[in-house]
Amino acid sequence: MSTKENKFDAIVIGSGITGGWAAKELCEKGLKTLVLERGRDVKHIQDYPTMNKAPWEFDHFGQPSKKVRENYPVQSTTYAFNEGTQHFWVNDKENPYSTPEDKEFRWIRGYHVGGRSLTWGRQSYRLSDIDFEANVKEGIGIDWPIRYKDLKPWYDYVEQFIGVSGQNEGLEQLPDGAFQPPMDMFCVEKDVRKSMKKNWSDRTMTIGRTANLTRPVPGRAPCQYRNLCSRGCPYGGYFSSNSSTLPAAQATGNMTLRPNSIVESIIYDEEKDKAVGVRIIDAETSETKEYFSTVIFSCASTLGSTWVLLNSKSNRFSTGLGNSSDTLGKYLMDHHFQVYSRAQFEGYEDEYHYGYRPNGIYVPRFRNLGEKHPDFVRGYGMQGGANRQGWGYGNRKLDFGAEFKDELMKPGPWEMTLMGFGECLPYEDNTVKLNSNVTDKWGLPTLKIDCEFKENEYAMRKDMAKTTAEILDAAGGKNLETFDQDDVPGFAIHEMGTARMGRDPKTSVLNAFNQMHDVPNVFVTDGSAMTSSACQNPSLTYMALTARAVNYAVKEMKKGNIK
Amino acid sequence: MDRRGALKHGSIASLGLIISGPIASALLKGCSPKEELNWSPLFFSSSQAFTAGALAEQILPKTKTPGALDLGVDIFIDKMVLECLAENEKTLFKAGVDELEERSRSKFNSSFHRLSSNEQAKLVKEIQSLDELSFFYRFKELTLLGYFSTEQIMKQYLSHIAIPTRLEGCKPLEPGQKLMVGNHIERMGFEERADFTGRTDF
Repeated sequence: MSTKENKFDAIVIGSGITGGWAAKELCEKGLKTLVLERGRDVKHIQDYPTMNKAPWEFDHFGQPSKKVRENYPVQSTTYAFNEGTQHFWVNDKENPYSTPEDKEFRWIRGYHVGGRSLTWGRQSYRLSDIDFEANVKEGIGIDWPIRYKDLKPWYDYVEQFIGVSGQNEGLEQLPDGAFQPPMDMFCVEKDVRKSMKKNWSDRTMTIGRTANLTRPVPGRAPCQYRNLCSRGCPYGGYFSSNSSTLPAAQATGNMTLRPNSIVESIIYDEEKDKAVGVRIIDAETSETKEYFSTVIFSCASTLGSTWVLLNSKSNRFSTGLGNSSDTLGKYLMDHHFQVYSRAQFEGYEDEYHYGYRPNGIYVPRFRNLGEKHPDFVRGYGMQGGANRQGWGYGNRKLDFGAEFKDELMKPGPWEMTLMGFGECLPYEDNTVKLNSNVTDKWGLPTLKIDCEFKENEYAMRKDMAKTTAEILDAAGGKNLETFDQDDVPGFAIHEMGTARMGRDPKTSVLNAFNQMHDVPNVFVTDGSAMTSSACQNPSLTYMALTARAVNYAVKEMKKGNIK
Repeated sequence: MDRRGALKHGSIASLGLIISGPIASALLKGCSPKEELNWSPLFFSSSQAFTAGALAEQILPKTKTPGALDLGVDIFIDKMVLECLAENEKTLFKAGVDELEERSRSKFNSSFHRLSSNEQAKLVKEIQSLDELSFFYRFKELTLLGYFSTEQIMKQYLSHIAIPTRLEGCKPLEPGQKLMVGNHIERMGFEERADFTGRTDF
């Protein structure tokens, strides 16, 4: 029952990259907002226990123990998992999900205030009209209900608040942004960029556009080039909900943040024909509680939000809230990556760098922009970078002894890596469903994820292997090696789709403003809204969609269309 | 003295005073049939620990800079195998160390750790050529980690800069430039994952 204590203007489910944005925007527009986070609280700086630790201060010099890896068999496979960050990932044993035996899916998650915004890779790229128009032009999936011009002002707004450093290149496929000054490229990278321009008129290399500050913003100092981001930054040098949006929301006096609140479902009132609130389980007391609000923002991550919607069943919505289209849980996507080439560069022995750059370089997509590739549609970008090797390089050298040791004490050879990140098409049979046969410790059903890459992605991977190698080769790279491994969905941690946006309520869950077609006072603004995956790192787009959706929702509330 | 405790707390500098594996064995060679390890391995047997220690010292020997045993790398490897490696890898480590010892006995009729450095190097080359991605590769990985992550090596022999505060992409190498290291963690190939510099936030 709605009382003064449990009634809010808005409820936000989740406190990660989109939940933080929804909280900030709603609170700044004057709405009393309840933010529900299923995990524990993580306070900026004070809850970053490893932020200043040296390798020798960890039990195993940073390597996760066997015991930890046994409890985190999925999470521990990701690049950012180590003794410095292991407390920011979910215990896989306590948070089960299922897949068909022959279709691995790595669901990488963090259940705590800030979510994966604490550990994310920070690469921030805009989608372009080439991406927004691709589905309708090629007759794949459904058309996006928005175009670049709809999102552009919100990209500007978000970039300026979070602080994205980068270089404008004037490319149609990767729109320019409102950037802070770019980070430096290393010498080898500068020369590879020149070589690319000379050899391919359609290929460019730019410094990574990253949500690390090169100039201070209010309340946050610039990056100190320690490259320890995922442990939490005491300077606020990179964007996280904890360092940025949640403090902004808090400052309004309108936010109530409630950690340890597992949303069990969104409550749909048949008579009022709208969502009236949410039901939660308190993770500490196991009590069930209900909270009520005029508008609800689901920002629980792609699979998190879809789980909540699937589990919100009523007479009208027997298969999940707002699922009259029967598309909820379908069209799951993730970028495919882990195809890469690596080469050594000679002639740079007298060149070094200073500081540890928490960023790489980016090669914007160049396939299927003009000329059609015969084997696949869409395209891929490349990430990577050059590095003067440290002692870890000794692990790959077949050598030992006194000279070997002396060599490892000095800067090693320059190497450069280029890795493809490719678009994944939306397939109806890449799905998530509720699985009542496997329940979690609260007795709640879990997810069954059934997802695979298909022909278009595999054809693209062959091209990634070829082009990553030929770029390094043309620039004079030596000892060139190419790898293709771990083509497992989920591993790029860019899971998207499953509650897609669209123009037609019959074929989509959300409209052009991330508003549910069926239940107009519920908005879903995380990755689940994505109609196609493009090939760019998606978080910036989620943030822009969220800020835009809040702006629209509040206008609709003022007009009395949402009440 | 509690070398294990010393290692854990990072005050390894004091370990220079301790007589470690090969030195102990050199002192004992020919004058005493009974050798005692001056620390208690948790994973290896005492005799395996001697072999492992000598192997680590072969990989990173004492020169004008400290050797693996000066830093307690043998103790570190013993702890890491026990606490961090999967069962099949544990088996691999015992088998690898035993294999080395066996080759030493059959070829030189002596324990590996008692051999001359040249003799040891011959055998290490043999096992290195056996299977580069197997025992020797893993063992070397732990040796390097246990050596280059210590406070003593990072601070005294490398250029440890915890908070660079600025980035310079192209900077000429200074004369006598040491390897620059920060507080980030090298990702080990326990599960043979890619070494991907594009995602450098380890």
